[in-house]
Amino acid sequence: MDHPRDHEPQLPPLPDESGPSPFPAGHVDAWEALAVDYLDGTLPPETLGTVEAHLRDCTPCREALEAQRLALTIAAAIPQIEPPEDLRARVLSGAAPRPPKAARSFWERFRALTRPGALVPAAAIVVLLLVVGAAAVRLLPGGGGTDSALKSGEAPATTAAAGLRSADQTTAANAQPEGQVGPDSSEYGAEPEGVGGEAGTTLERSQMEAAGDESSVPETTTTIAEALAEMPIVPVWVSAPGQQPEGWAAVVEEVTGLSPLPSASVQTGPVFAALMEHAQIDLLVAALRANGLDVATPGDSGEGVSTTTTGPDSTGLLPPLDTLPVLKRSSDGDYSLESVPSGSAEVTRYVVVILTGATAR
Amino acid sequence: MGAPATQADPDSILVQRARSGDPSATAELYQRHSRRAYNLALRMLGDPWDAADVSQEAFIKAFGALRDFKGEARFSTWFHRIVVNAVYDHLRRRRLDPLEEWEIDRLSSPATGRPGGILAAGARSAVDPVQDGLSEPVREALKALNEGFRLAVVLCDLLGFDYAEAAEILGVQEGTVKSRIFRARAQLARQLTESGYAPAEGAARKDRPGNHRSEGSVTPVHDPTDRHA
Repeated sequence: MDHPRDHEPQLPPLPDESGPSPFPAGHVDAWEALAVDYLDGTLPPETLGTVEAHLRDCTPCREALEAQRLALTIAAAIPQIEPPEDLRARVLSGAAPRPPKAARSFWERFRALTRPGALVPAAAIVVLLLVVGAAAVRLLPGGGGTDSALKSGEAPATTAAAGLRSADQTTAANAQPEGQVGPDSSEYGAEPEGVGGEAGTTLERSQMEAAGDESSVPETTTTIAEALAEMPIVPVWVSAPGQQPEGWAAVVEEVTGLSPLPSASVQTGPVFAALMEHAQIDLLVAALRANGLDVATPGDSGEGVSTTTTGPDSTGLLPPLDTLPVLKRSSDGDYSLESVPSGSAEVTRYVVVILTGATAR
Repeated sequence: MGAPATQADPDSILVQRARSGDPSATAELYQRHSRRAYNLALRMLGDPWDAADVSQEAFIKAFGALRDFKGEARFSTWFHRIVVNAVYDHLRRRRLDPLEEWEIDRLSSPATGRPGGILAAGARSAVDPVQDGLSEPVREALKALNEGFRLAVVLCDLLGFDYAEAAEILGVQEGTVKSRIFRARAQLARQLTESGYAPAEGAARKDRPGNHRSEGSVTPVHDPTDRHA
């Protein structure tokens, strides 16, 4: 381990240090240290007399000292914040330091982003779309149509949602050749411990179910939040036309904890193209269109997906998770945007459309 | 320059115990230093999560290197040097990778000038995800400071380090610390005055006894009695 004393803190350049002093010309920089001591009341008497005599004659110096006092007042009012509660455990357990960003759970970030009053975008709609990976999840016990949805995943895409290639689970489950943005890649684990593993388990169950033996389908009960928390998540950030925000990838990273976004193209350009390719966003886009939402794809605008729609309300406050609209693919391959089912449902893919913005203008 | 080491260091016994594997000593060291370390990182990075990550990193690095701590400096000095290094590592990563240069408040900062900023122009959140206790003008003014200047002001004016210890933490002369503090304060005052910010009445701190400040509300890293020992 490095001996900390072996390397000095590496200060960035201080371009101002030799720059203009706030003191008038003719005053040496040593006055700065002197002034600091003067304000602290730590000047020795002989120096103090000199300084006070000077201050009587020098208005700029008096003003400079007034500014110092103001800054001190401000600094004194800055509180010390208690460290977060979990920091102690993180330190004392000796857990490996989390890499910045990466281990911040998705929900942790999500809550921060969506806490009441956090974000009230006024002008632009900003939509965060979460494409939830192709794991079969049974929500609440007693769901019917157990395998129809699954089978539909293998059906040719010939329905009204034409052009939607169905979310073939097997395809989705396969690692992407580049290992980049595959929805089921464990890279997408917002919770680093075991998302990949759990996704794998879920997948196995899905395949088991897909084999058609309904009696073997395990009865599991979970909430949508739990289900989502375990599922690979591909985030898509969509903004109003012409307002594709610069640096949106960073936003997605921040919100999702997927840092960096597992795409080589993030920094070089067509982020959306990569996401579209790997995350089957085309499904999402088409589904949104099928539900009456105006969605432009990169091919349409060259600017990335944009959409106009309305949020759950115009305040920017998110509704509770269980009231979020969910894009559901039904057994016949159609998509519908609906509330999270309160009863039971077997779904192969959820797209949670999270609206954090107000209506586009 | 520098604070007197070893015998005056109230942490030295804790360090010895921690070094011999006493977990309660490690916990006590954490208890004594976590608040300032966290606030140092928080005020430098502006992001509560980054601050927690950096604090954790610094503690684990320090606890893992205790046997290298020779007592040439006080533990507080040695440890906060590690914190400062971790902060600078983090700032450097942000600079190297623009995607890392992310602070939560950019989400809704109207200051970007872009249509809607990153999220949208609109009401700025009243608080950061974790309350940072700063009003918007103060937050902005702190953020606008050169990192080195900000560090000096954070160490001394916000966290109550004396100039000598700050100088030792930063590896510079005490006069340099004072100069940086002076200029940082001047910039803070100028910017806040221009923005019309008025501090609350009665918050003024007229007298600053000696170099030690804010001891009352701070984890007592310093032993005030050894100031001039």
